[in-house]
Amino acid sequence: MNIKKFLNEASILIVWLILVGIFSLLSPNFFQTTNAVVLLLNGAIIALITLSQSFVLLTGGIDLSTGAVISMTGIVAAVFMRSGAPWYVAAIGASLLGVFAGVLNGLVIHYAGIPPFIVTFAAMGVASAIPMIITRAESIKIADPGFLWVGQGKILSIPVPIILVVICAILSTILLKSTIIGTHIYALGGNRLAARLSGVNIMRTTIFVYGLSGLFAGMAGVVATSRLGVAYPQTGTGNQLFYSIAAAVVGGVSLFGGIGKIRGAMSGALLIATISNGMNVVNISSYWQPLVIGLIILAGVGFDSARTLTRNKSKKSRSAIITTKIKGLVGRASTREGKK
Amino acid sequence: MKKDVSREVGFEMTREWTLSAEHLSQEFGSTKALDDVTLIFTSGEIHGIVGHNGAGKSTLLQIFSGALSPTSGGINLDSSPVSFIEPYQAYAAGIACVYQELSLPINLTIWQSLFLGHELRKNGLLDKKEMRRISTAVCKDIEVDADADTILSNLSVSQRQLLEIGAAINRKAKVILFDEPTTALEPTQISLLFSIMRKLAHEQNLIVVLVDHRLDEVLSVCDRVTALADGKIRLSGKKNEISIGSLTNAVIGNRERSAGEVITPDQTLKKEQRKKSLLLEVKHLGSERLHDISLVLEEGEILGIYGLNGSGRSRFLRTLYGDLSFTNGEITLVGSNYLPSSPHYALSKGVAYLSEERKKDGFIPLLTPTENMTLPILHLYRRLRIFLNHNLKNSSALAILKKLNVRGDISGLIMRLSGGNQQKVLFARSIMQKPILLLLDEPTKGIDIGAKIEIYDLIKSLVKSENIGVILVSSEEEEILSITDTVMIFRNGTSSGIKNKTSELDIANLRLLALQGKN
Repeated sequence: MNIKKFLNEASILIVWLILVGIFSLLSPNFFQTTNAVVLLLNGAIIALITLSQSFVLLTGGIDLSTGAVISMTGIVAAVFMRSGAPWYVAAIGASLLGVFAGVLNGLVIHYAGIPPFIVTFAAMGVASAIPMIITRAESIKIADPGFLWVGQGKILSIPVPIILVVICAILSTILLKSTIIGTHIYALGGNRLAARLSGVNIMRTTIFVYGLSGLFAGMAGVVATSRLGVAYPQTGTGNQLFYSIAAAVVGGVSLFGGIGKIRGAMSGALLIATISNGMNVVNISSYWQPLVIGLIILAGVGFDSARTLTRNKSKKSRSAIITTKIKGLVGRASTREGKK
Repeated sequence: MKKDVSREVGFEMTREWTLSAEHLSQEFGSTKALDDVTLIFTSGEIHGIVGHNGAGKSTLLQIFSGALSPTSGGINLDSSPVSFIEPYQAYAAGIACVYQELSLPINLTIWQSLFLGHELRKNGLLDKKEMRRISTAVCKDIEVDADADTILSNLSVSQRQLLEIGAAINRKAKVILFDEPTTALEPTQISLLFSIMRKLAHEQNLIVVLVDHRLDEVLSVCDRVTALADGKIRLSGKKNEISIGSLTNAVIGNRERSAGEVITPDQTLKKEQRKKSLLLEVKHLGSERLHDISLVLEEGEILGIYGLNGSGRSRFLRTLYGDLSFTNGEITLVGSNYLPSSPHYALSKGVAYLSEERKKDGFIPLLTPTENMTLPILHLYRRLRIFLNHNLKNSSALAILKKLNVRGDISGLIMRLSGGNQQKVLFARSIMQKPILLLLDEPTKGIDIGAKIEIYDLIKSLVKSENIGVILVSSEEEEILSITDTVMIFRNGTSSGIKNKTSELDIANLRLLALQGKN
């Protein structure tokens, strides 16, 4: 039983090792220190947005605005500095803007009763348009050495973004494991109605989770902008959202809510970062990346629903279970509290 | 050999034909919902089926409509055996069921919904003209005054209910089963419904079956009546051979009681009970579906609430718990005003609630028993006001689980435990909240007799040791009788506020009280 459990948890790392092996065979450049640093730095941004996505997924929701918030916060940080604000004010202000966007998502989801899928879909549009409007689609160069340190600096020869991710992941783990709100997040994702009757404050938990999602997305925006040294209004509108969901799902965070660990999500982020980097190194056209990641999401969700199926050993067909689960995901907010 | 009737076109509708159940039994675990029921429905007749909660009415209906396969026994349609694995097979055989809940999609037009699944076509395209024409005729029959292009959501609830019947008629159903169809209807619509039923049976030679718990209604419209109690047929015969007294006795499962006898319950409580201090006082509570409910509950009292399904019992408990809102009335809990706006509020005031549907809104399947138990009271296990002390949390939860004799893998997920043990865990959750008022909604639903008795003992000892108040909603008469001190009857979302002493009740007069509403 314990071996099975271990294999279950370690399987993603085994897949990762195999991938590292394959990429190393295909290209001598892959297994190099310089490439490892590039991989980890890209991985840091993927890890931050995976954290962002994981908290929301754990409650049974989804945040489609993650990528767009990266673009928005990156540009806003640059605009702050251009107007004379110190770099740390710009960085913290941008992160808080992410929180604000997330809290807005949470408020609309809870009070308007619109499904998370729709609300964050709309927010994605809004958040990706704002940087374009502000800059008229032009990029802003960043010269402030303090701000650049966030993405490019090192402490004891370890890159700052990696330290930042490790701290965030540890704090997230503690939050989920050892605080009330952490338990409430799992409870909400496991059975919303029962959680409510158990006295869980659904409103507070929902808003907290989306706010936290916005915070991590905002931090990702700051790190990404700092790394590039330039704020692009479209930094996060590429594959970022895709990566965040894929990493969480292959890391064992259930799209249906209630299951998942930070450890798993971080392994997922490492796996996705490796695939993305490896495909670049072995010269596969970047157009192929979304295709591969899409298939990974499908495999991850397939595994997830198979797990759900074996858990509910009922007569229901698999598709019926998936349908009800997805209905729950999309329509959860519409079956809000029984206030009539 | 049973033959597949779904492909059969039908038979001559003018002669007499029958639908019959032969030795039907249905077991759910250890309980027998139906026990060797043999019953014949004849064409051209309206057949009423009456019975109390859990008498087996709906089980019977589900078997006929293909929603359930019987444990033993079978069904004959026009003297040839048929078996339905899925509801559509019953439909194809001409058996339609009109449920209490509305099932037609409300985003469709009348003609779309009446022809849903059997749309007419002409040259490969929908024959809208013909479907509209037929729908208009059906609407006329059921007296729904609306254009065939009206969207269902623009119709009233009762009109939609009539359309459900129209849909059954339009499918050329030969047998139409009605499941408590009058619940949502106004008196004038009820008489319309009955006239439609008469037309279907007497003019079109269909079989019409009416399942209802209002005896007067059944006797007024049906040609033949069958009474079920505890899964067995107690009485069956032509209407003019049956008196309301004998029917009442058959329904309440007591043959000895003389016909027409009315129970007068003890309306005054003993004086020593009055001396105990008041715990809860509800005055004229009203909401959308509850009307003018008043009651008092003392410390150490177990109050049972009994009534038919849909009488508002669970709704009342959920309102007290803050899950549903109320519009009128006031509630006082230990002397101070109590305004339950959310379960969170109720919990903070020392009110605990055990849900009827433990799978739906009782426990969180992906958490362990101890996590489920401590979910409402996590704030008690904090270190430095932030961090959870898992050891303390687990040890106090495990101590209670042990005391309650919960069996199974306690460290695993709660969903892997048996129903009875899950219920014990939820019960333990309530105990851990140290409530002053415990609201129990069908606390032993679907669990075996051994676990049941253990839970009864737990409730009693909890009341004795902590002097808390308990309100227990139950459909099981034995449960009400064995653990409550007093009983109130709910009927149609309200209650007279009169408390009956449990010691002066038995199963028969409890059922009679719920049926008559004269408490």
